[in-house]
Amino acid sequence: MRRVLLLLVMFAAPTTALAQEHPDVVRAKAAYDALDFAAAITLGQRALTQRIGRDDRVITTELLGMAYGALDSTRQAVEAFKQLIFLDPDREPDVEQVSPRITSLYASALGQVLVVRRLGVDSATFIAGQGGAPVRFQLSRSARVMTRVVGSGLDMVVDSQNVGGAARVDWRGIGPDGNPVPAGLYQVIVTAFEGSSEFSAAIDVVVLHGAVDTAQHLASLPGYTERPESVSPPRGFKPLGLAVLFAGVTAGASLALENTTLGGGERREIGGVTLLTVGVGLFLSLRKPDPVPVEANIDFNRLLREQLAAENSRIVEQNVARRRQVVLTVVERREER
Amino acid sequence: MRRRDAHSRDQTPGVSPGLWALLGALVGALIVPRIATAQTVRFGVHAVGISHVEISENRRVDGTGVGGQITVRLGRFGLELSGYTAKMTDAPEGVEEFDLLQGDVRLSFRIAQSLAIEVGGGRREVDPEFAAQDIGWGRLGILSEVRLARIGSLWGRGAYLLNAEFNGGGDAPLAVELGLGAGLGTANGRFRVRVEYEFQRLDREIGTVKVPIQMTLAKFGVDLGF
Repeated sequence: MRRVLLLLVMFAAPTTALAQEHPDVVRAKAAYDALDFAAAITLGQRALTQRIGRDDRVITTELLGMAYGALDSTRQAVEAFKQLIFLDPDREPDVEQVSPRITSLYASALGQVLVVRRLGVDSATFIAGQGGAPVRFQLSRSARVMTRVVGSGLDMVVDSQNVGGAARVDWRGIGPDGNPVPAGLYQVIVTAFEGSSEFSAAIDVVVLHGAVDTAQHLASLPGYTERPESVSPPRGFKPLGLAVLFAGVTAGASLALENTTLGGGERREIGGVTLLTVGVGLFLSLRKPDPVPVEANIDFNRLLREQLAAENSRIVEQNVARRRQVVLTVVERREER
Repeated sequence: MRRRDAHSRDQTPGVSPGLWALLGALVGALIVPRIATAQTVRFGVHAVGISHVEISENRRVDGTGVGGQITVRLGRFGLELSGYTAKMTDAPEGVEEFDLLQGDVRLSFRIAQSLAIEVGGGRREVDPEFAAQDIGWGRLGILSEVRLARIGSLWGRGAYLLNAEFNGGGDAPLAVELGLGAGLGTANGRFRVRVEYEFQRLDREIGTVKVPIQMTLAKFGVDLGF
């Protein structure tokens, strides 16, 4: 029997070291460590009748539960653990250090009470109304749960639902008037109801305000570039050909139409002009051709510019809306115990 | 050199006044009200070289001169007013030298990209009178103009000369003219160098006597566009 108790004590060391100040609590802890469970119970009960701090009360209650458990006083152990759960719902025996018997007694106590456990708010940054800060908690039993946020002159119900086990509620940071809540300190209060039982847990959060980033205008659509609207065709001799054709036809017709009685004379005029005309054609053939428009590319660029303009219009509208928005940063405020 | 007197000027033949009035009204109605918004207005000056021959080959007279031109383009319509004066001094022995003054009006309407119908008229006077024939005519023809590049174009024209009249009398059952031209200028159209050739043949007859007239002309000029 002595060996069994030793094993129980070895596994039943207090899970977390809290500040121990009251002498009776220190003595009760020493008695427990010396495996004198009866003395530990006596000293612990005496300490609870005195004015001791919350941490000492938590340690003493936990000590009582484990001492009763070690002495096989199941009912007293469960009652002690129920008191412990009400005092600190998040404190529970460490399965790595405590005997399974003790943890089962704790679990039995937990199943008999209604508490909100492991209440926490994940740090989040979001645009008010478009996101939310997750509020997480667990219930020891299924119950109706109302989540409220109180602070900065506001008292808002965020959510109300039936919950069993773990739950998550998103707080969107919007006040009753639909506007972002002011920056400041808030308290998230989760209250569970079941029949006449009621339990509330609260956590402090800090809300900070920030400006929403505006989007920059686009200079081009990603993945698209404008195409050349005109290209120079390859050099050709069409100008020379046309000049020769026109000059040849005119000169030929002129010679053919000459009055045989009058003759053609020296024909300096047609000769000179024909030569110059052909020269113009040759010059324009050797010169780099003029760029010609590419209709398909013009249409493509027009559509691209229309799309770009439409996209920038959307960005303008979004920026107008964003300038009215507020980025909320919600951070859980933890108190040093 | 004998000068034309007032009496002889009154007798100078030409296109009938009705045709001139009709052409003038057409030009006025189509061009003048919108000239301020015309697509192109060009003013040009040019030097001319002329070879003029009447009756027989040994009466050929050559000369040079200067002229001017106004061209207006408005949509499908085009109006060209041109004129020149020349001194026909290179004459063979026994042929009188003379001064020549000619004016032309051409109104075109483009019916295809490079093809236009052209109507108009012209008048040529010589001084002294009867050194050569004073002539007036109407014209109906076609004009083909091709744009070779932004800075260059060439054109050819052919027309039948209507109702040709001469101060010496007679008529011309065959009267035609041909033309060839090329221009080269700046890309903005402000300046242009122009070379042009014109050929004119009028088979004048007085009764059964054939007294043909033929003239060739070369122009070299510059245009200023607005």
